[in-house]
Amino acid sequence: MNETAISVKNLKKSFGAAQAVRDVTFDVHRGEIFGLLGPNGAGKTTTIRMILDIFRPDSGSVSVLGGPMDDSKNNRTGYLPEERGLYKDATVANCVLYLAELKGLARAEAKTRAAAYFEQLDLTAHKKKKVQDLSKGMQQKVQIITTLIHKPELLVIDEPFSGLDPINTRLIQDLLLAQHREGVTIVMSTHQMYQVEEMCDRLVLINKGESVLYGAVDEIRRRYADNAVRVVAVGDLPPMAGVHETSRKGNARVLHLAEGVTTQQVMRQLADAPGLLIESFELALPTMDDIFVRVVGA
Amino acid sequence: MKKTLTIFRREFLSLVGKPSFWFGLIVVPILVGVFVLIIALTSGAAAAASAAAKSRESTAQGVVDAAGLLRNQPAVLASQPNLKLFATEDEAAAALMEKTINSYYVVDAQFMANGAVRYVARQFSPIDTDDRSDDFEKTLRLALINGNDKVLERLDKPVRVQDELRVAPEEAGKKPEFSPVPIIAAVMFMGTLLGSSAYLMQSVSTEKENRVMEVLMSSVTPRQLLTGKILGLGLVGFLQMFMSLGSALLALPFLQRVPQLRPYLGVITAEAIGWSVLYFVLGYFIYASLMAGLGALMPAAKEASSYSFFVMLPLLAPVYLNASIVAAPNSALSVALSLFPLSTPVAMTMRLLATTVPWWQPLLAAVLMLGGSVVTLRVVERLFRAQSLLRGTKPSVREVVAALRG
Amino acid sequence: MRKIITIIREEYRRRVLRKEFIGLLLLPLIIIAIGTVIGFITSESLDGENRGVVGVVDPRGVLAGAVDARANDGVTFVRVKGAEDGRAALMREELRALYVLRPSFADDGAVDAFYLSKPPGNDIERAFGAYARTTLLNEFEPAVRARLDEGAVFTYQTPDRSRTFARDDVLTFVLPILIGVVLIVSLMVGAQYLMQAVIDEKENRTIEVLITSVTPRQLMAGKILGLTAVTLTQIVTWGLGATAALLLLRERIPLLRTISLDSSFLAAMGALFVLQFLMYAAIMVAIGSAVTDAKQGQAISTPFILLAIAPEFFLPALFIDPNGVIAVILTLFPFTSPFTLAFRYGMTTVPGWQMLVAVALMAAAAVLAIVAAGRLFRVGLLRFGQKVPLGELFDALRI
Repeated sequence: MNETAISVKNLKKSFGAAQAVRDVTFDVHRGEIFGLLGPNGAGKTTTIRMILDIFRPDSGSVSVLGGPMDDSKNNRTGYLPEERGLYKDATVANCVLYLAELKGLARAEAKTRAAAYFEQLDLTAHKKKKVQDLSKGMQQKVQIITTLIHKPELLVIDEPFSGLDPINTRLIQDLLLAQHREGVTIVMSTHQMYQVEEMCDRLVLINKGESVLYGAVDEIRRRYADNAVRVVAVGDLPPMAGVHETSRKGNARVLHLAEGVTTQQVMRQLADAPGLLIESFELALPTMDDIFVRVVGA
Repeated sequence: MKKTLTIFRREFLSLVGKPSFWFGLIVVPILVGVFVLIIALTSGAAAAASAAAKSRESTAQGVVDAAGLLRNQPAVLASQPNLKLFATEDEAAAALMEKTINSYYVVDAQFMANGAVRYVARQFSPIDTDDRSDDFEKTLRLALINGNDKVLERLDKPVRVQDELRVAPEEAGKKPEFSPVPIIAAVMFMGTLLGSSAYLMQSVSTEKENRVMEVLMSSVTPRQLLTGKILGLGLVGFLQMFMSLGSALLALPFLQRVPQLRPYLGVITAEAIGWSVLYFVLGYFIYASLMAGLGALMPAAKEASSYSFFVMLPLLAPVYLNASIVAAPNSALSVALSLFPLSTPVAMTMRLLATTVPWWQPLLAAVLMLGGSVVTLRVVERLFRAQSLLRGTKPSVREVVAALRG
Repeated sequence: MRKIITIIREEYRRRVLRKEFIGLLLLPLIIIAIGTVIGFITSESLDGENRGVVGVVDPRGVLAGAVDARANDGVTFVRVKGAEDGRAALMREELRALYVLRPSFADDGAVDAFYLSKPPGNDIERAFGAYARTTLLNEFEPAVRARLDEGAVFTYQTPDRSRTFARDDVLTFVLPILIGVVLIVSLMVGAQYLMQAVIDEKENRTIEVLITSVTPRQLMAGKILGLTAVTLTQIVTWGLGATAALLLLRERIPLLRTISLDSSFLAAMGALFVLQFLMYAAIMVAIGSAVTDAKQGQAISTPFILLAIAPEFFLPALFIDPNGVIAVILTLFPFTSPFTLAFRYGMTTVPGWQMLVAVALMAAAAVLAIVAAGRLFRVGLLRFGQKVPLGELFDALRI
């Protein structure tokens, strides 16, 4: 399971005087959903393009599925670029078939699979229409089909949810999770941090061309956790030893603990407080949003 | 290879499958025919109307002879019954208003010194068959020599060439004095070449604009994309070429049967056709790669097509200079243009049809073109890289130079 | 009103303050330069054929008194003793051609021509005729001789004597046509640009922002007027440049001295052009607002462009009968009137009433087009990425 799908080491790439990527290093394990995060202009797309061998790096190395990218591996990879691109004046079916064939799929096979996807994504009625006559959401679905149709082992998707309504977002999310269950490795770049928390196993955060944060999502959240607990309770909290600050967040209260104080000590004090009904008591983990802002803003 | 084939097939089918392609192939010639018909009908109607109007008008012309030239020449005047003498211009103008004459001449009092004659008429057209001022000039000159028309005839035609004799021995495959065939062939070649290579540029630009380029880049290499496109659209160009060439060759025997046309058709040798076809194919590879490179450099179709004129210039130059090339097909300029790979397809075709070209020149031109197409393909391949293909802005000169260096 | 002026200023600035616009202003100079180069190369290569030394074999000395005539133009004649010598000289390429006089030459001018590989063309034959004519003319007294040789100098005049031109004055005929062509091309370029601008703003959704600040009517008026100002800038610059060049070169080039364009023609052309531009601008804005992309816009606007250049299809008819029914109809029909008027002006006098009616009809057509475009613009403007159904467009026109 912990085989490496992608290994990126000390990547560098500049365009003229502009250094797009300075130093990026990370590994993606086989079968995981890996988050590739970073603010706008951090070098995410350039990194992705180097992984896919669209750009050659100035220095550093990329290994995909156990070696350098080649034509057969190309066919085992699916890519959904951030700026969506389809032939606007071609029909939906023709567009999908052509791009599938370019991924090495035989025409007949491509037809059957396309039909299945059209059925699954409610596009059967529209397959004879021109791409430009579809709504934005439908074009997005067509684009996803072109990414998945050749059953890739490795998916690289850039902002898969931009411009989708909640229903379609759920639809695509389910589609991706189904791929995940089948063992497909997914590299996902997104700005929606709650999606990262929900879907990703591990992540790398790139800022100004360098990887600044890398690891498992849970581990990172724990690493960035302050010594604090989140308490939801009915009644007033008593003054407690070892708590140097209390703040409100919604209906919960966050107790910031002094150094060396453990959660058990606080829990004990709360348990003993008269007239207090505790509904929930948990470690106050920062959201990915908080971590992102904290790391990038610093 | 398979991917190149897939691209090849798509490029070919997407062009041939377009209604506009067939529109251009079938409807445009029909429209042209309709326009020609309109022109013929309207000009026929206009000619009839104008003839009818003129038949109601007087054919007489007035003369105000201030120089007193005709007054003393009753014999000359008698030979021109259509001319009416007026004493003053006012009388002549009044007659013109009353339409008893359709125009009048005023011979200047100083005619012997300055030759001035004023012609007053309602309209002047460069192709007006009604303009008889040449006849009137003849009348005036006849009056100068007292009506001696024998002398006038000698003066007008002092020399009559009886026989024209060639001194140098006849060359084999002598070409005619003038034939429109080289120019027609050159324009046809140029049109098809430019059309198909412009379409290639368009197709690259569209993929850039549509952002399909990035998807394609993750599936195929730039080289596969370039090869597939050049071959796919080339096939369309070649088909068009062979269709027009074929129909021209089919029509030729019939045209040659028309005696009035035969002298203008010239001698069309199999050799000239063979070389021209070869130049067309090689020329396509050169221009198609150049235009593909332009499409790769520019962010969108609009920018690309505004620069394409400069790429096409070498092909247009021989067409602009056609008069010079056809008149002097072996001049230094003609030879230079026909050996320069970018203008060979048009210039050499014109020369081959217009004259006898030394045997080594077509061969050298083909070799130079072959070299030229290899070089352009190499150079354009450097432009046809992901970095250019995915760029969304117009490149600076430095960036272009950097891309060309590789 | 202030908003319209803001739009006008922006549209004007966006187009005029660009390198491309300066290039456009310099275009006529570039065309003249290219034309001169092509003309020079062509005439150089053609002249070689029609010039050179021509031998004359004249056993009876009929042409003893002949001299090189004015009209010889680069052809010189030498006397050659016998036909054999002449052929040898031809073979050595010392002579371009050789004329051998027949015994009857004095009576009928009969000669035989010899050449190496290319027959002497009409120019050389004409030069030989002029050379031989000098002996015939010697018999006349000098005053008559000059008249016989030079012929008459014709000037043409219209019956109202308002316009005079030389018989071979191509310029009087060509200049109005040239003006017509320049105006038509400017009209097409300007109007197409306007359509493209509307389509671009639709495609990149700028229009969505604009429409929250100004009304569709203001937006349309601003765009049309702004672009009219741009095109007028271009035309006026060209006009001033041409006038300046004319005044400067007048003294040097005699051909230019006869140019006369009367003010009523220029006024009519100016009025027709501005009105036609407004009409086309309105049509193009309406098309731009109703279509989804440039290709579609092109397809729909092509018929309108064909209408404007329609007079070209009728050129032969106009040539044959510049005052006929077809000519008058085309002069009055708004889409075709400027070009037809320009064309006819070179050949005839166009009655004043026709110019007046043409301007009046054009004004009416322009107003109609602007009103219709205003309605269509509102309907089509905010439809992105989809065609506006035809029915809806007709509904918009009917209100």
